[in-house]
Amino acid sequence: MSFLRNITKGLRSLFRKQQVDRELDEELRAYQEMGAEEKMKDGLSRKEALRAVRLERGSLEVSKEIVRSGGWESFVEICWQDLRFGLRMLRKSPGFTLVATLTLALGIGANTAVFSVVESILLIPLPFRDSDRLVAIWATQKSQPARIGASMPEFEDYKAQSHSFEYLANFLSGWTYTWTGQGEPRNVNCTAISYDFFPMLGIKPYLGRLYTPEEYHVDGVQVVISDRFWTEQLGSDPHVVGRVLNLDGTGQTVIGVMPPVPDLFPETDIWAKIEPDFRWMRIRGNKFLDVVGRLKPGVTSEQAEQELTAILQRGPGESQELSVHLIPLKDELTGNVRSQLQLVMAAVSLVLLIACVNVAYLLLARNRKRRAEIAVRVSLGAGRGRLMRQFITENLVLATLGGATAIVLALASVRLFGRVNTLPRNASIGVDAYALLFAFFITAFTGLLLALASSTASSNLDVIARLKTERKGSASIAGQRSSLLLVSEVCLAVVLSIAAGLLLRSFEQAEHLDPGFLPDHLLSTYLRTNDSRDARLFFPQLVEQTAELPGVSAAALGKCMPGVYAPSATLIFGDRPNDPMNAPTVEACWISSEFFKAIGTRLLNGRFFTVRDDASASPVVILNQALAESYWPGQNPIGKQIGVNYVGAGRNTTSAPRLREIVGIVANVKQKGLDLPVEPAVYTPYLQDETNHAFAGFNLFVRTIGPPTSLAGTVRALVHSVRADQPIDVMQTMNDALLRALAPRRLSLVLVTSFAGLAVLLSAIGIFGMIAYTVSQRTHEFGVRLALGAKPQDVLQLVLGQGFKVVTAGVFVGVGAGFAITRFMRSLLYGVGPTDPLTFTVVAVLFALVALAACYIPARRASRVDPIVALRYE
Amino acid sequence: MGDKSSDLVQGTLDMLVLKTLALEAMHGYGITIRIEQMSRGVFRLNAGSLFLAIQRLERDGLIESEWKPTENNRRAKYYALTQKGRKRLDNETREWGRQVAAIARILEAS
Repeated sequence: MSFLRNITKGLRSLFRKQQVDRELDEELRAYQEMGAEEKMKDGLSRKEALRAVRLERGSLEVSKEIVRSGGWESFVEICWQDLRFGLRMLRKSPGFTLVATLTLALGIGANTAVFSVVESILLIPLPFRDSDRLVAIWATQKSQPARIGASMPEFEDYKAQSHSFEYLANFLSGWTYTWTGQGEPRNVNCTAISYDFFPMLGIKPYLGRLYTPEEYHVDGVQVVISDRFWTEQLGSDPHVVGRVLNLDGTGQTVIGVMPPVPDLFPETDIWAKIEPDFRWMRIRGNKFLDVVGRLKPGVTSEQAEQELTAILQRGPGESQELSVHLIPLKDELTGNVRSQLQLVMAAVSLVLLIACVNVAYLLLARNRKRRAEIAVRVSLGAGRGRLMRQFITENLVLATLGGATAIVLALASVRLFGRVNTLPRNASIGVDAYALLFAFFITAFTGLLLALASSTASSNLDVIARLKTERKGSASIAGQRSSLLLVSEVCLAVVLSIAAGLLLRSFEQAEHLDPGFLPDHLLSTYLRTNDSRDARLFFPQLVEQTAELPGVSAAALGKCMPGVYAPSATLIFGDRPNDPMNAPTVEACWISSEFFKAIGTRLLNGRFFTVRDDASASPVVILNQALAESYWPGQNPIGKQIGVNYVGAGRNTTSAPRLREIVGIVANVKQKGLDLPVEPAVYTPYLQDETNHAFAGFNLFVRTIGPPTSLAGTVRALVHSVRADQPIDVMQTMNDALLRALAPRRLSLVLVTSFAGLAVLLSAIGIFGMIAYTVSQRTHEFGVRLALGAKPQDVLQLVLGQGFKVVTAGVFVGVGAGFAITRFMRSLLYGVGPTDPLTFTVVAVLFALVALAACYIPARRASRVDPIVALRYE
Repeated sequence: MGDKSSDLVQGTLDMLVLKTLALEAMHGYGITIRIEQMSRGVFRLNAGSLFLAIQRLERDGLIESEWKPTENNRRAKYYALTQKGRKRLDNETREWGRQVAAIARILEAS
């Protein structure tokens, strides 16, 4: 109650100030009159009596001031005063205000934007029920980093024997159906799911229903479609349930529509079902399913890992070197960008620090001019606390201006990130309340930091000395404190530039280190078919006719996409004992005879495949150099025999693989990514795929003589002339495909580099500002020097020397810090070490040049001072 | 400024004001004179500290005010104890007695 009364009374004196003041005035006057009356009884005149009362009891104004300062509202009032004063000061120096506000806005804005992205991707929980207990489940083989999926029998073991999970589900994503019957045939994206998948996430269909458990065991003719497919392709038809879609040549009835599943498979059109009864699903060694689960409350990841590992190892024919790992689903989705985003966040916070240092430096320079004002304040009785409060208010005003501009910047730039579709969860990127709170906090933090900087500048308030020597004091060199600020600024900018330089070098290395093939003049398209028997005729015919097109030097088919993707296979050897439980996993690819000629890979030994390596010929295989060297070091493997067991959905054999004769060794090709190391790989002729599975789809590679895009139309027409209803999703040049594969690396590269550029610019402005300020303060001194016979070059050297000293110190410390810090970004580097000498040298030299340029203009001005003007100016 | 009230133990001024108002409602000057009389001139108050204390007490709801004419036909603000103020005075008086007795015991013991 009394708290409430306190507030209302305080508010009353704030908002009805005059009335409250009048009352207090009247009360105090009455008080004095009464006192005076007493005195007058002793014979004093009225005037004398009032004077006596004032002396005894305090004057009217002082008393009022005391009473006013007692309530909390006086604090508000003082802040309000300071605020108005701060705004007035800012208005008086618009140049300073503009530069400082923009600098802070850049710093705070960039931080808010990056934080929004980091928060949306890495921090906000997935929007599913109990999402903190959702995990992805993988196996690994001892001493091998590769993750291994689960086979259907393994998954069924987990589900039957484990007690750690509320739900266990599996899925298979990234495959397609061909949808015909509505316009041009096209491929639609499918994710196959097991029965528990949606219940685990807590998502129910919008319309219709999901598959029943029984339907999973029937190769049925029903499908569940996604929100995306429903709205984009079917016009949100409310009567869609019951409609028949022609998928892969079969009529499938829509039974349900799922709502959008944010953050998980945003591209999915069809939610198909995992059918555990397919023959290729029953092979225990065919481990390709992704498994996810929701832990029971109270069960730890470690307990579940131990339990699943034990179940896995108990399975028939399973290796004892397998172990199971649980990864929180959110980390699983965002793991590939986590370290990049962290680096970007670190970079952008350095930019904020640099911006702060710059503004602090501006404040120092300005405060030196304000010394007289501050000294007057102190001599009029302003205490240290009161001054500090004024500084804080003033700088908070400045920071708030910056922060408000920053939020506008952040809102504008964050929308750009949402369009980057290589970022996971990109649909949910936005500036939310947390990001605004973050902006608020860094704004406040910045304001306080600046207040600290400007108050230390006016500490040591020797009033008299200040008032007297107002000019002289500032004639000294810009002062240790500001030099220190600049050194730290240069140091931060150097660290950031080194980080950017290393990323730049990595990108350059990834792009230009020999990938083992020639991406120029190479066109590719992915062709999927739904009928393997038909495809056995289609593909050989297509590749033969493509090769004959004018302007084409070679054409080939490949299951893999160099620099982007490759299937995997396990190997057995004809010349040594095999341990089938621990068979090595390698990259593998079904190819047509001209494949290496088309992609431009060199043959090192033996021969390429020919069209005669078909189903009726004896089986053959080509190895890459890495595989040859790791299993036949110093020997010639040509003529030796190995068996290749492809791993993946649809692999339709249970028998041990045929042994194939090694006929050739090719140069290493970076199969899975330009920024990933080369791994052992095998290549097999596509006509020798006894399972027919390879024929579900192939990449067609066309090596062109002219620019590859000029042939895109011709190739498209040819495909349709061979097979009229063949859908063609993407036709792209190899270079485009590679660029897209490097997109995540490019994003962090672009961001960190632009932040580094910003940092360099800011520190150049800082150096320029410092030298210009010093020069303006020392005009008189330079005039004297020149009058006494110093040459302009001497003055030039003097000023340059001073600037250079600061910059050298900054570069030195920055390079040292770089050596210490860059090893934390090792995982983001490719082809360069974290202490790459070239990067460090270039950055150091670059800085020296930038600094020299920034110093030169003011230094030149100093050397041209006219002694007469300079002396008169004083 | 000869402000003897600063010699008062922190917070006792509030208690003295409450005590002064326990008998009857009074205006600011009356409170000053009463405190000085009762302390036989040991405590002297200046206007600032007195009205600061009054503002504090009023905001805490311990006293309430009313403009009334004085005996000399002047307008003055009269302050009176509220129910809550009376209770507070009782508590503080008791607590003060306890503390004084305790301090006295300590001082006598040494």
